[in-house]
Amino acid sequence: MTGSGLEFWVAVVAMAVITYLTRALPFLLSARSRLLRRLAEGSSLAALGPALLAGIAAAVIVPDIMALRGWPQWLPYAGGLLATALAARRLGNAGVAVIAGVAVYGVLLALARHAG
Amino acid sequence: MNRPSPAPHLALPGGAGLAGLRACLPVMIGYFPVAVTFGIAGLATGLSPLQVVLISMLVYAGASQFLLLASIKAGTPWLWVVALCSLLNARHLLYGPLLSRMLPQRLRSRLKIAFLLTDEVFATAFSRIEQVAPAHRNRWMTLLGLGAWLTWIAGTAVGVYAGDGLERHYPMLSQVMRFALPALFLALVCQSTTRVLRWPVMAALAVGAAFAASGHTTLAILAGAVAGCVCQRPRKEAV
Repeated sequence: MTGSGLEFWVAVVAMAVITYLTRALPFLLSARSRLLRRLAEGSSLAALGPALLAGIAAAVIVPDIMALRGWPQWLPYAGGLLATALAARRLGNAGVAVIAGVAVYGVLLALARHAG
Repeated sequence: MNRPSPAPHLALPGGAGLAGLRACLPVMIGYFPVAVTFGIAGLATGLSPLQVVLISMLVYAGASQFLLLASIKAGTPWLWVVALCSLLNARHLLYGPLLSRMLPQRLRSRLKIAFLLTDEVFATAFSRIEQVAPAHRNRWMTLLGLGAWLTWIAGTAVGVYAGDGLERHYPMLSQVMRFALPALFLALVCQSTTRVLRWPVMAALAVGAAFAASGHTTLAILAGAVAGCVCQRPRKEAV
């Protein structure tokens, strides 16, 4: 696929429709739908959402980590991830955790450059 | 995710809409840098500014949008991209049933809210909506969702139209802002990992990391998801 031509727009519109449908379908289906309740509760598919997020996190973070060179790059990245994880667990708010992680990463990066 | 404990309905000074926007503030602050990054990355992929902004307006799903950019770069066939997007978004199917009993009953209101139901909006609503009086929930939820959506579009536009200048004049700021994306996904993983789901998530992370380390980032997402589901034991055994 390229960024020009019909293929691009077909992909974008299909992605938009699919994204909306996955968000809207549970409301269109009966509230008593057993399948959806199973999805939300105890079945093995209940792990799908968090597992997908974990898979994406690995796909985003691991290539970044592999590109890091030396402690002036390692330390800020590890510190930022640690701050994000701690803030997310303690505060339970992804937005605040991102801000905390980015702030710690920025400060450590500046310190590492200053020291280097 | 932990179920929120019932709490008395909050008085809403300034109206339910303002309270919804206030609840949205952390999401907005978290979204902005990621959206700016998406805008910059979109232009770098060779798309026009209008194309990049329209993707954010229409698709409005961060992970899928970055997947789209990666696929354009790699020349992945569009059908494969759409299939991956469906898998990525399958987790959204869980949000409706979890929120359903707390949302307004009118289907039209629900279908409007559905467009705005991202991971972070869902997480914010799930933890706070019970504190909002039922009569105010539609307005509260709408403003929470609209605030996040408009921030996402505005951030993308800033990335598209001012990202180049930001990169040139403040290279370190740009580097720091790019950290928002890994931070966002890590925060979402930490937030969605309950005691019962600890092992499935660890398995998904380990398998995903192994695939990503060997250069198969798209497969990493799928393999991680499969590993997580396989590791999930039935509830009665897992507790």
